[in-house]
Amino acid sequence: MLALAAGCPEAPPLSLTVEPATLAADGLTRAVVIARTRDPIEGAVVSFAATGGALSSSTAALVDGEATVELVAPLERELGRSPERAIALSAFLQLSESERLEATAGVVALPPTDGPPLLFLDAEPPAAVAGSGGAVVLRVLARRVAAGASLTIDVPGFDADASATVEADGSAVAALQVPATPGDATVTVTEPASGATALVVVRFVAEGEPLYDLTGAFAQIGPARVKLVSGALAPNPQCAIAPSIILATFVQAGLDVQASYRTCDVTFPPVTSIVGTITNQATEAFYQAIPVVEQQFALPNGELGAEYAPPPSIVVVGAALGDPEHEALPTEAEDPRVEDTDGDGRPGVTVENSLGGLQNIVFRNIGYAGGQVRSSNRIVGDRPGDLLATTETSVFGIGGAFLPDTTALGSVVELVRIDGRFGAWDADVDADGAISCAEAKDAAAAVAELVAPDTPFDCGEER
Amino acid sequence: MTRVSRLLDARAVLVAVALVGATLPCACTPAPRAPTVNQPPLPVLAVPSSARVGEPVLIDGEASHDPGGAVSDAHLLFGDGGDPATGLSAEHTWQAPGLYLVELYVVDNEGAAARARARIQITP
Repeated sequence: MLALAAGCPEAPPLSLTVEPATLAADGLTRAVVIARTRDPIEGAVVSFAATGGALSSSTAALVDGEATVELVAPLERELGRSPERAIALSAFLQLSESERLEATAGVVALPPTDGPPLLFLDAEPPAAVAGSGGAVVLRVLARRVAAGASLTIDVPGFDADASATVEADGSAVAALQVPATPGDATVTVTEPASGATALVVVRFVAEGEPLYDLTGAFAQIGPARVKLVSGALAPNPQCAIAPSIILATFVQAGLDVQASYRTCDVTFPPVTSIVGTITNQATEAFYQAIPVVEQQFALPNGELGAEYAPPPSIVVVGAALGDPEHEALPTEAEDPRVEDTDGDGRPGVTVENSLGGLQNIVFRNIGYAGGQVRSSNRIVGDRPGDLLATTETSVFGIGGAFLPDTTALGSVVELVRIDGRFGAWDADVDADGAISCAEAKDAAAAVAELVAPDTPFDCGEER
Repeated sequence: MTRVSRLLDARAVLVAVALVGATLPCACTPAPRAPTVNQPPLPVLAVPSSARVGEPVLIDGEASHDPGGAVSDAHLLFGDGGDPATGLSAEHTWQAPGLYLVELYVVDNEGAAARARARIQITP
């Protein structure tokens, strides 16, 4: 009551609103995002971030206490099978080295109501032992198909329901009988009026054979979480998400797997220092310089849910070390261990730092990515700690003052098949029979489903 | 005055105080402040909503600016896997239909960076 009598507002120092609260995931619809300050501030710029869609700008000037940007909706394919996708929005305003105002809001992306029908098809389980009896459940999710519509189901050479009826929630269910002999059943579901289809391959294996076959190309999508510590950071420490995309190629024989991992993309998180925001951008030559990691390992059993636990991957770029895991990184360009790995005439490898320009560095990444084999198409590491990636960097020159020490925080990871086998996403856009890093990067946005654990900028409880 | 009416009067006074208080100028409004650290740049990206395959398109980021300094570096990405362009503006031609994400990165003279994004529909 005293506060009301005094007329003093109870609003937070910075607030964030989004209008409307939902938007169609058509890649075009826009929402207006407004950050408002409680107190008058002149000459300030608000920074924005979103976990989905595309912001018209990551910054906006504060005018009369408001800074406005637009959020362009994500594409429908980014929803995957989910009926909706929550997008977290955040805004901050750095007033001084120690004072930072922050606010968060949310918006929900929904499947568009206009457009052609879209079908998704899953099999539960995705594989079974031939002759074991019972049935596999075929689950269809139909978007923009009227309730009561009949979908046709085609499984050549296998005993399955010929049709399924769409329910009010868009779901439809059918059964595929487990056959007496091994074989792959290719299931196609079709919405007759539009011709929309979806496909899944169900594996029926002989007794004793693995229920999954990982042979092929996968996108390993890892939203690594890191804690950054440096005297030049404000605040110090800072925590951030550093997403990476790795093209993983497997050859499976029995339970033995021969794997190769090519790093296609690593996003260095921007850091806020005593002189402002600093970003690091890797060059294409940088990625080319990262060696492909080859590994051989055995899976513990052939059941769905088997633990996938390859050895840690150790990569050193820019130097040749006798003990890549433990040896200290070179600190001088003249160190004989330093190599011009990216071939640009500079020692080590080169990244572009928004403050210091081109930086010549040596870096080491020790990464562990594990999970469970859910099917021939998907390995899921959804336990925080299934992804642990530690990066250590040595910089030649003055830029080192702004490169922080990095500690890995537990995160999640998923490996999703992108070579079209077993009805999976086919990323081979140029149809040359191989998946390139560019194709893997394009596919990753469409197939990713896991979201990294909450990572407060100031590290919260993980300080 | 009955006990009930006294209570009603008291409540009316409280409501009146609250209403008056809510309309009074805020007694604790602080003086305007200004940031004491460098503020990031402001990217401005102008992209047509649509174009045809093979048609040169001007991607214009020339309105980008920095409130306390100058834009010192800029890159444009076109969403088709092609090489990025250096600078605030560039002409680009898409070779296949689709919905592409165009991005402009700008860096100011004190090292702060910002990004603007827009989508363009390329038709056959």
